[in-house]
Amino acid sequence: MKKTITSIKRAFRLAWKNFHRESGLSFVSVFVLVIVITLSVSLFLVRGVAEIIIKDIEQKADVTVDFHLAVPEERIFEIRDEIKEQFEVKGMEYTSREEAKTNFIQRFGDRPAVMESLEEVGNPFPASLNINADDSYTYRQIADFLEEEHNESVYNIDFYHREEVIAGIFNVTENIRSGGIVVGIILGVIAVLLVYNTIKLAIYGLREEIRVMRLVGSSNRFIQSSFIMQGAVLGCVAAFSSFVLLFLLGFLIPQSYNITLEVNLHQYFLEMLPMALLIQFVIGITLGVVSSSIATGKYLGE
Amino acid sequence: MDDVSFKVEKGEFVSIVGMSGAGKTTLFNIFLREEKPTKGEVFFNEKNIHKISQREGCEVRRKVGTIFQDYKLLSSKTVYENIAYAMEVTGASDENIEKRVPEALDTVGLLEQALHFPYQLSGGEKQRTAIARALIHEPEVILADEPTGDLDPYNSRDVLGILLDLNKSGTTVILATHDKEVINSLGKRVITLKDGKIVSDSKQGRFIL
Repeated sequence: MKKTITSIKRAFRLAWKNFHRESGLSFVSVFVLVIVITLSVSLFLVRGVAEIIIKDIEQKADVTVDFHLAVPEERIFEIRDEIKEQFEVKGMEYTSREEAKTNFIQRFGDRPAVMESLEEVGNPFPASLNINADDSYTYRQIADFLEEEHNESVYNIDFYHREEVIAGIFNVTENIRSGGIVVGIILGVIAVLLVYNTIKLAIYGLREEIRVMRLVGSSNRFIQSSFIMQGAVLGCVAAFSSFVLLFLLGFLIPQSYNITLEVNLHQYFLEMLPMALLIQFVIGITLGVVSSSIATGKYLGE
Repeated sequence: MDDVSFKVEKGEFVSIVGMSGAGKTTLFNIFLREEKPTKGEVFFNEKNIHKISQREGCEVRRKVGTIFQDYKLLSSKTVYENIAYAMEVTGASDENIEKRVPEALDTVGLLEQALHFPYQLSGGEKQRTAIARALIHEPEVILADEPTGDLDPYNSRDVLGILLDLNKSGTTVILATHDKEVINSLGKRVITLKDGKIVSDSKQGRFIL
C-alpha cells in the first residue's frame, strides 16, 4: 500500500515537473485541449438552448377543439378524460365559455364598437380544449377520434387546416435534433484525433527519454503511469483554462436576452456552469489520460 | 555478430575492442535486452536474460550499471534528479534516496553541480553524472560503451580512474572502446572484435588492430 502511494506520488511529481519544465510543449498541448474542451462544452450548452427553443416551438404547435354551445361542461370533461386515457398528450387546457368571453374582452375591451356588438349577441364563444402532444401523428389520431366518436359534441377542430404547418414544425425540430447529434459525433472524432496527435507528438519528443528510463531499470508500468499522470495534469490545466474562458465569455451575454418568454439566456448560462465545469474536467482528464496511455503504449511496445 | 562466445568472471575488468561497426554496441544492446540475438544465448547469474519475464528483465537492468558515449541523461532533469530517478524506479524510500544520491555525487566530484541541468555541464561532468547514476544501485556489473569517446585526455583519465576504483571494490567492468591509449594503459583482459567476430581474447591484452 505504502509502495503504491509512493509510486503515485512520484508519478505525479515527475508529471508536474515535466509539465512546467517542458513549458513550450505543455502550452501547445493545453492550447489544443482547451479548444477541444471549449468546443465540446459549447456544443452541450448550445444543444441545451436549442432544446429549450425546440420545446417552445413544439408547444406552439397545438390543437384547439371547440365544442357546440349546448354541450355541458361535464360532457367536455368526460371527453377530456377519454383523450387523456387513450393518447400520449403533454398537456390539455380547458377554457370555459365564460373564460373565453373574458379573454376576448381583455383583448378588445378598448374597442367600443366590438363591445357593443358583443353585448347584443350575449356570449357566442364556445368552450374549448387546447391540446399539446409530442408529434403530429398523435394530433391526427386525436382529431380522427373526436370526429368519429364525438362528432355530435365537437363543433370545430383546428387541426385539419393546420396539419401541414404542425407536421412541418415537428419535421424541422426533429432534423435539428438529429443534425445536432451528427455534428456532435463528427466534432467528437475530430477532437479525439487532434488531441491524440498532439500528445503523440509531445511524447515522440520524449522517446529517447523513455529509452533511458528503461535502461536504468524502470518498469513499463512506472514509465506509463508518469506519462498518464502528465496527461491528467494537462487535462486538468486545460479544463480549468477552458472554464475561465467560458466564464468570461458568459458574462458578455446581455442580461436582458431571453431565449423564450420564460427562459433568460444569462440565467440559463449561470445555472449550467457547475455542469459545464464537471463536463470540462471529465473531457479534459479523459482525453489526456487516454491519449497519453495510447501514445506511450506504442513506444513501450517497440 | 557471428560465433561470439566468452565468459566474464565476477570482479573482472574486460575491455571489448574493435573499430567502429565491429559489433561492440550490438553486443551491449544484447546484454541490455535492447536487441534479441537471432541465435545463441546470453546468461547473467546463470539466467538466460532473453528468456526471463519483463519484471525479471527490469531487475537485471538494475544490477547492471550502464555508461554511454552520449551519456543518455534525462535532459529535463537536474544532475541530482537523474541519479535519484534510477533509485525511484526501484521503489527506494525517499530517505534512502536523500542519503545515497549525495554520496554518489561526492564519489564523482559533482556535489556542487547537483542542481544543474545536463545542458549546463561539460562533457566530463555529464559522463561523471552518468557514472554516478550507474553506480547508485551498487551494481554487480558496469557496462561502459565508449565512455571516453567524447572526452579530452584529462577527463578520459578521470573517468577511467573511477572505473578502475569501482573494479577494485569488486564491481565487474566491461568496457567497450577503440581508444588505443586507454587499452594499453590498463593491462587488463582484452577481447578484440572484427566484423562481428572475436579475433583475440587475451588476459593482459594490448590494442592489436
